[in-house]
Amino acid sequence: MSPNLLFLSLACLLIAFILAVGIYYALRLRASTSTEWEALLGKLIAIDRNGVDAVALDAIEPSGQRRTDKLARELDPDEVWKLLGGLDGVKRLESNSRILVEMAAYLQRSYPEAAAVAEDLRLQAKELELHVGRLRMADEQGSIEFHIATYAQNAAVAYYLMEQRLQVLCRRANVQTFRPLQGTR
Amino acid sequence: MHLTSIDLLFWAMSFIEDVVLLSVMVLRGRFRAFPIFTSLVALNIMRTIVLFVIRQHDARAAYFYTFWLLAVVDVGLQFGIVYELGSKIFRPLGEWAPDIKGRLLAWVIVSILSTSLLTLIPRPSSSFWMQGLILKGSFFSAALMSELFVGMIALSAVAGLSWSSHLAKIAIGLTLYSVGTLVLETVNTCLGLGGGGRIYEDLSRLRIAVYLGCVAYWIIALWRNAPPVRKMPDHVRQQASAISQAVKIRVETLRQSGEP
Repeated sequence: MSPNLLFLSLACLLIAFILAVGIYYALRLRASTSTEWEALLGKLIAIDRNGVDAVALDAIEPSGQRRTDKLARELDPDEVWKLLGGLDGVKRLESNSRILVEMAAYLQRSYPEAAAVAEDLRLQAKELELHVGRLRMADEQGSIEFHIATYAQNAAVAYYLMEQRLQVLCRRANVQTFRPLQGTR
Repeated sequence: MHLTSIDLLFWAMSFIEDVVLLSVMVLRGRFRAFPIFTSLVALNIMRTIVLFVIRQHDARAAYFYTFWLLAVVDVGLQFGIVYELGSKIFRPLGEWAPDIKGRLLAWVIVSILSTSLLTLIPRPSSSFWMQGLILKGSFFSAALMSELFVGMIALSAVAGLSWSSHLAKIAIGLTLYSVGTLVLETVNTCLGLGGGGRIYEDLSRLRIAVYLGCVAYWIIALWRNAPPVRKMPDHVRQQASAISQAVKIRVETLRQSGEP
């Protein structure tokens, strides 16, 4: 193959790649900009509250304090995994993380005064996405049993605490309760 | 240095459109937010005037060197615009977003390396070594600009960072122009200056036509006002604050669980 023909082939591949990536992400940005706040709230997926509560209260008091009694953390990894809904449950957490990133983008775009809150939320949601992603990857690699104890139960505890915190904040602010984190499944 | 009537028409249209665009940037105060982009428009106006005067004196060598010297400045300013836009998108609070800095740097390095390797491959037909260098340099800058703009679009979408209205309009125009130029420069680099350079001239006219379309788009888009800034409703403010605090707790717990 002559150098010019090789160059032409590679350049065509590059142009196709640039067009595909550009169009895909431009459409994604466009779709994101046309979504309203209420629609984003509605897109958050409900979490199985009973399961999350059971896993969380195995490790903490209802007040949020860590349990130090002998019965604390007696659930075995299999039970924790089952109560959280297994891989589907983890995927729901991951999905919610992505929507939280979109919510941050909405706030940043629509209300410049909220830039600091938006950036804070975006960074937290990205970190959350990272942690949940690790748990999902561990499952894909077949090593989930080694990670459930460290990640899954703490994730449930965190979700439980978040839910408690949200309910208090929502009541205090007298706003519509944050449905997905209340858990309606 | 024969110019056809369509060359003269394009020349006049480029000058008029650039002057109108510069007027819009100044009159609507957009130059404050986009000083490097405004500088590029001003450079294009100056270039048109200078090259026209040189052409009137039929100074071929002066025309050649001035044209390519200003082309280098033009490319430098285009990379400056990439920085100008990137610094607005990826520095939402005045500092580079920590989750983006590394990925952005990696994308820039990969783009430069891959484009450099690709540029080394072709052997464009040309009479002088400088012509080959110009063809390769034009391809390199067009490819790199396209990759950088598309990379910015992709990274901002993944990171959840939004674009302001006018910034998005400038970026869309530049991305379309860069990709259009990349296609034309690919053909130029393959075919070189064979056939008396006629194909090269035709493709140059096509590039100017793409540029004229982009400038017309910018004139309209930048003349219009951005959507008005809304005051954040109390319920959205409260919900955002609640979500932010809740996620903070969850992240902290996950972070602790990952510690040895």
